[in-house]
Amino acid sequence: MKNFRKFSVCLIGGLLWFSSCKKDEHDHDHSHKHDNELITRVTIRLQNVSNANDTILVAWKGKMMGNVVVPDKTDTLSLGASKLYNGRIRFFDDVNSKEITSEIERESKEHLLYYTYTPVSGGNASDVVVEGRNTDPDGKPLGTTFRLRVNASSVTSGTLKVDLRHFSGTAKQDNPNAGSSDFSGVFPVLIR
Amino acid sequence: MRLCDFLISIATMLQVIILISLFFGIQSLSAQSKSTALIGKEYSFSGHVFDGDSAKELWGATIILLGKENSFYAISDSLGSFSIHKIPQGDYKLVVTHVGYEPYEQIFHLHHESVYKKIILHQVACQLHEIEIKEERYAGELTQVTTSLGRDELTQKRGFGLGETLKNLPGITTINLGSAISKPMIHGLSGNRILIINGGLRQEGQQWGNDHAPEIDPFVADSIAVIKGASSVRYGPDALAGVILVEPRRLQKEQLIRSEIHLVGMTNGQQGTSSMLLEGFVYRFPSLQWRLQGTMSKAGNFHTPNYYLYNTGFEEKNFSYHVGYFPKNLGVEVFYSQFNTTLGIFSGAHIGNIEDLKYAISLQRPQTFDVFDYRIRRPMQRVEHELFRIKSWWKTSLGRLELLVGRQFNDRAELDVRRTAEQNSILYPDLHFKLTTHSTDFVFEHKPFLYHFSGAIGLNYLTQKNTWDGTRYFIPFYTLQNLGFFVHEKYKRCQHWEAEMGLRYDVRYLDVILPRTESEAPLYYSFRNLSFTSGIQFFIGNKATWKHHLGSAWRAPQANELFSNGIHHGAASFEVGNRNLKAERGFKYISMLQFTEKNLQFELSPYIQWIHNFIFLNPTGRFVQTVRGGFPLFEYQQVNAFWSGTDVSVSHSHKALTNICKFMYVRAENLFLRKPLPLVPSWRVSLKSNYRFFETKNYRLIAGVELLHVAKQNRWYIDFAPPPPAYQLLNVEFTFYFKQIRASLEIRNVFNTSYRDYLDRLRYYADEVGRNFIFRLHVPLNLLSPNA
Repeated sequence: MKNFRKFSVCLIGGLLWFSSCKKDEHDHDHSHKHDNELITRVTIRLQNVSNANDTILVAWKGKMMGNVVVPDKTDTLSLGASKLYNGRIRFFDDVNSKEITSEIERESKEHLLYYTYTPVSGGNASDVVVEGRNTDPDGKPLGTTFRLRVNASSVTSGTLKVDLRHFSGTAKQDNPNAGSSDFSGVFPVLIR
Repeated sequence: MRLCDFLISIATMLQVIILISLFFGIQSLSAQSKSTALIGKEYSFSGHVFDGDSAKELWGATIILLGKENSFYAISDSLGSFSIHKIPQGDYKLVVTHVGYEPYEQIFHLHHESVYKKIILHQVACQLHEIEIKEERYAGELTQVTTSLGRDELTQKRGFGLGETLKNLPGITTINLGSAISKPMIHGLSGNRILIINGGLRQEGQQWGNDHAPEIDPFVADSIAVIKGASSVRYGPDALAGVILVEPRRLQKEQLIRSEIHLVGMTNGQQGTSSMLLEGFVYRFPSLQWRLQGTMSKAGNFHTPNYYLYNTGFEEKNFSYHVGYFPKNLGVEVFYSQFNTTLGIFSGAHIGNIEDLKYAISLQRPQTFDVFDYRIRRPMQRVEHELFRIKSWWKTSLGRLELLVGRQFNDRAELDVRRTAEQNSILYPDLHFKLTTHSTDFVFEHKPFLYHFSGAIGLNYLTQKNTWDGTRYFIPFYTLQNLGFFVHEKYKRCQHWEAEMGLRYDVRYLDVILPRTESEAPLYYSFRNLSFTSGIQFFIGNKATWKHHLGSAWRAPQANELFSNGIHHGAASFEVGNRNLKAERGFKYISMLQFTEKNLQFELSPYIQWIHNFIFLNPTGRFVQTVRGGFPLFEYQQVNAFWSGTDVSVSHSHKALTNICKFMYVRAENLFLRKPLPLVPSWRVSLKSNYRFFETKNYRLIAGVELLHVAKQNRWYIDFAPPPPAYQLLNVEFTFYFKQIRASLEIRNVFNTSYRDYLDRLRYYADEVGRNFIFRLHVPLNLLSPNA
C-alpha cells in the first residue's frame, strides 16, 4: 500500500508537470493568407511599327480553382499578313490587385520569356517570328518587350505559346523548358 | 520556442565542456590503471563472453564476482567485453549468466595480477527469443518475425538518418528524395503503413508524402528492432507493413557520471556530425538517474560522381533529456526530445509542368549550378518535432502496471521557390502545419497463470489536432480521436512450441474543417475496426526454430488521401484526394525458418499479404491545365492488392573470417488491373565479409568489404520514365578498437559508380551520390565512478 501511495504521488506529480508543459493552443483561424505570387491575367499589346494607330490588345485570363489558377478565357491574336509589330507583355495579379511586370523586370536575370509559334497543318513555323526581345544586364534575353514579325502573306492560323521561365539554382538558358515555370499560356493566332 | 533555443544553447555548451573533459578523461583512464599497479592490492578483471555454438560475442551477459566482503558485477557490451576495476585481492566466486544460456560458475583467485578471461556460455535446450533477453519480462509478440540493430551495429552506421540506418537489413529498403530525406520501407510498404514506436510512444509526425522523413535522431536509439509482420495489437492501428521499435538507452547507475562522444565526418557533402551524452545518477541516491544528450549535424551540397547536387545541404540540431526515479518495484521516467532540421530540396527537382519534366528526364545531367556550398535556399523544409513522455510502472504481486502519457508536437514548414529574389529571401513558409498529439497508454502485464499463460491487456487513447496556414493548400484543419483496447496472451511449452493470440478493437473519429474557399460545413468520419495477431513457434531440436505468424491490421485513410488538391512540385503532378475512401485492411502471413549449426546461421522468411482497399495514387492519363502549364492528374484510389516476397540471410564464420549474404525479393500486384503497383523495390543481394586482423585484450582491427547488387525493377506499369538499370556498389570499412574507443574509416561507393535508384524520386533528375569517405570516432568516458 505504501508503494501504491508512492506510485500515485509520482503519477500525479508527473501529470501536473505534463499539463504545465502544454503549449498554448495554436490558432484556430484556418482562413489562410492569399498567395501573393499569383498570375491571373496576362496581356499582350502589339503596335504596328509603320502605323502607330494599328494596335492590338489581347488578354489571357485565369480563374481560381482552389488555390490553383487555371485558364479561363483567352483572346485570339488577329494579325495582319506581312506586318511588323512592337510587342509588350504585362502580368497582373487581380486577386491582390497588383501588376507584376515591374517585379519581373527588376529580377530580369532570373526570368525569361519564350515565345513559340505553332502553325496549323499546312502552315509554316516561320509564319510568325518573335525577335528582338529586350535583355537583362548580362545581355541575355528577357522578352517583356519584343518585336513580332508576320512572314505569312496569306490567310493562315496557329497558336502562340508564351512561357515565363524562372531560374533559381540554374543558369539562365534560352529554352522553354529550362528552369521552372511561372506562366505558360497559349494564344490562338489568326493571320489575315 | 525561446525556451527551446535556450535549451539548445545549453546542450551546445555541454558538448564543448564534454570535449574539453575528453582530454582529462583519457588522462584519468591511464591514471586509473597506473594506480591499480602501484597500490598492489587492487586488481582488475576483464574479458570477453562468447556463445559456445556460434562463437559470437554475447551482449548483455551478467558477470558477478562474489567475495566474502565485497561483490562486484559488470555487464558485457555488444562486443562481449567487460571489465571490473579496483577489486581487492582475495578469493571470489565467478558467476556468469545470460538469459537462454547455462550459467557459468568458477572459484576464482585474485592474488598476484589482473586477470583477463574468455568465458564461453552454452545455450540451454530451449532458446528464448532475443527480445525477451532484452526485456526480461512480458516480451511483446514473440512469434513475430523480427530483425534488429544492436548498439555496435548502430555505431557502425552513425551519421545517417533513420531510413539509411535501417537500409539493407533483410526486407528493409528506403524511399528517398535525395540522400537527406529517406523513409524506411518494409517489404515494399512505407509511410503511414509503418508504425514507429519511439521509446514506447507512437511517433506522430507528418507522414504525408515521400518527402517527409521520420523526425527521429538515431543517436537517441540504443537498439532498433523491426517487426516485419502486420501488427496492430499493442500499439494501435496502421501497421500494415510492420513496426519499427526505437529503444533509447536505459538509464544507468554503474557510473556516477559517464559520457559518450560520437564524431562523424564525411567527405561527400562535407558533412560533420557530433553527438554527445552525459549520464549518471545522483550521489547517494542511485535510484535517481539522469541523462542529457545532444546531436548537431551540418552538410552542404552532396556530390554525384560527376557534379554537385545544388541545394542539397541540411542542418540538424537535436537534444534530449531523460530522468528516472526507480525505488523498489516502482519507476517513473520523464523523457523529452527535440528534433530540428532544415534541409534543402535539390533545385533541379523544382520544375514546372509535364513538358519540363520530360525535358529534365531527357538531360544527361541537371542544369543546376555545379558548385559546393552550405547554404540552404528555397525550395526547403524546416521541421521541428518535440516528444515528451512520462512513463510510470508499478510491480505488484499480480503483475506489472504501466502508464505512459505522451505529448508530441510537430511543426513542418515548406518553402517553395518564389518568383523574385526579394520574396525568396523571406523565410515565410508557403505551407505550414502544426500537428499536436496527446496520448495515454495503460497496460497491465499479468504474472503467468496456470504455469504457461502470460500476457497483457491495455487501453490507448490518442487525440490529434492539425492546423495549417500558408499560401498553398494541402491538408485541412482536422482533429482526430482514437480509442483502442487490446488483449494479448501467450501459451508457452518450453521444450517444443509456444503460441500466442491477440485482439484489438479501435474506434477512430476524424473531424475535418475545410478551408473557406471550399465549404464551411465540417465533415465527420468514423472508423471502427478489429485487428488480430496470432502465431506459433516450434523449436526443432536446439538448432532450429520455425515461426508462423498471421496478423491483420487496418489503416484509416489519411487527411492527404482524402483531401489533397493541388500541384505537387518536384513530382510535376496534380494530386486529387478522394473523400469517399474507406479504411484499408491487410492480412499478412509471414513464416521464418531459423537454423544455427556451429558456424553457420541461416534464416529464410517468406511472406504473403493481401490488402483490401489498398489506397494509392493512380495516374489517370488526363491533364489539368494551369497557369504554369499542363500537369498530369493523379487521383487517390482503392483497389485490392496482393504482396508476396522472401528475405534470406546466411552467415558463416571461419576463424577470423565472417561472411554474410542477404537477399530480398518482393512483388506487388494491383488485383483490379492485374498490373504491378508502383514504387516497389526490385530484388537485391548483398555479400559482406569481415576479417579480424588481430585481436588482443586492448586492440582489435576489423576490415570489411561489402558488395551490393540492386536489380532493375522490370515490373512497372505507368511512369514518366522507365526504371533505371541495375547497379552494383562496393563499400569498404576498417574498424579499429582501442579499449572502449572505436575509430573507423568507411568508404561507400568505392568505384564512384554513377547510378540511379528506382525508389528515389530524384532519379528523374540526377544521379545518386558518389564516393564517400566516412570517418567515425566513438569514445565512452567514465568521468566519475561511484567508488572513487
